[in-house]
Amino acid sequence: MSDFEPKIVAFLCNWCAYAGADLAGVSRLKYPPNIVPIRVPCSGRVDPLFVVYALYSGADGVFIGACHPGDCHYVDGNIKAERRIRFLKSILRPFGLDERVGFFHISAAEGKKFAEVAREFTNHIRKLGPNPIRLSSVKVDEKRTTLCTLLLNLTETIEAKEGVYAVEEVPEGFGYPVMNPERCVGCGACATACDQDVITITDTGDVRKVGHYSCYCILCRKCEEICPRDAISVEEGFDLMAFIKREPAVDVELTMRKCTVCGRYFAPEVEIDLLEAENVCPDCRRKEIAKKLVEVWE
Amino acid sequence: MKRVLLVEKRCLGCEECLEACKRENGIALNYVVWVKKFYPVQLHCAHCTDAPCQRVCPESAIKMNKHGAMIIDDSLCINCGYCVLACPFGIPKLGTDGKIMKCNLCSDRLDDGDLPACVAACPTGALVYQEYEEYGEARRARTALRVLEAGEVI
Repeated sequence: MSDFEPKIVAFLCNWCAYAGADLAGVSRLKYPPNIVPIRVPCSGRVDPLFVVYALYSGADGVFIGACHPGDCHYVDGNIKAERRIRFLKSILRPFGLDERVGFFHISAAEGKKFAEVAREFTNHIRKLGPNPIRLSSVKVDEKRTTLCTLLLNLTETIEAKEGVYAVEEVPEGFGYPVMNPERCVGCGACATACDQDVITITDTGDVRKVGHYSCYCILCRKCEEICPRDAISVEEGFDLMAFIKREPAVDVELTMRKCTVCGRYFAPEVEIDLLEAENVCPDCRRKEIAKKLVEVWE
Repeated sequence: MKRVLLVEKRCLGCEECLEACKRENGIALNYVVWVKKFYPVQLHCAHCTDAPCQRVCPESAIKMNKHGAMIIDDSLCINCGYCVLACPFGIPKLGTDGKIMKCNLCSDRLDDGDLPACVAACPTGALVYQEYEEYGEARRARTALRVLEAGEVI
């Protein structure tokens, strides 16, 4: 495609790269008009989702201009941004989009460098061709859901891998609880202990499902400490599929026991067997004991 | 050891004890169960010696205090709910803030020399705070009276 002109979204830091772009303009340096700058207070403000959404909405490339390390107006925003973008690139790699994201350090005095970088990046994107996922008819309010479906569809085309996704560089601070189905009795102590609501317990009829949202875990290891059966261990890692889906992964499924009086499913079988408790739910136990008392009185 | 005990056939089911407990603990930890829609029965923790809840607690959070009450130590409790399942009377319950709660015999009130809140609130004297022996004696007297009255009717 010879007449292809890329559209590049540039997130420029207010304190350096934006000033650099300004300087380039004032100094009458030529750089390609394909770049659409967006001023951000700091490169640390750039959420990786902004980048994904830009790509998704039809940008052919995304360019992030940050301060040089140590120059950040907010101490370390640029370093955090770089880490985030590096991680984002490793996620985008399987989709073939990582090449379209660029991260550059440009100071306020480097108008010339800005022009050079912009030219190089535009040429680079021009060589890559149009963004394969460009979709024009997207409503903004459907952003989140469509983004997820899109990423999911893409994953299917590139040999979907369920479960833990091997990200080359495992980012710090991500993890998930691993439950031992042979030990867990589904008491729910971990779910109450977890401040992030990572562990979920859902009762559907005769099954109690213990699951987790790995993307919210902050590795506090409270669940690991609290589990009375030592069934949980927290491991570091990143589950990309869970992150995209935002659905809990089910770790343990326990059969519930029916109350012999009212027929309600009230607790997992393993837990009752462990405690050697009666097969009667607490509500019915109270009724039974009250009934016995009244019999005695009469 | 004194206990909160229920005098037979005196409970009206007015639920004043539930209200008093709610004021004291933030949530009603006792129950009023209606048998055959006719007999109200007030139920509360029996503070059993060798309590099943104490036996199953994995963190040994349930202990007996000086008033003879089985209380849950909040700093040790992990909310596993084992005690809820183990209690033969179905007394412990999930509190408002997700903590497992059970009757503590109003130990704070007992420290001040007051009666437990439910006993103080009961308008008919159906709830008493007595020793077992004292209660048994009173009960035997009531039964004797009933037998006498029955004899008079005939």
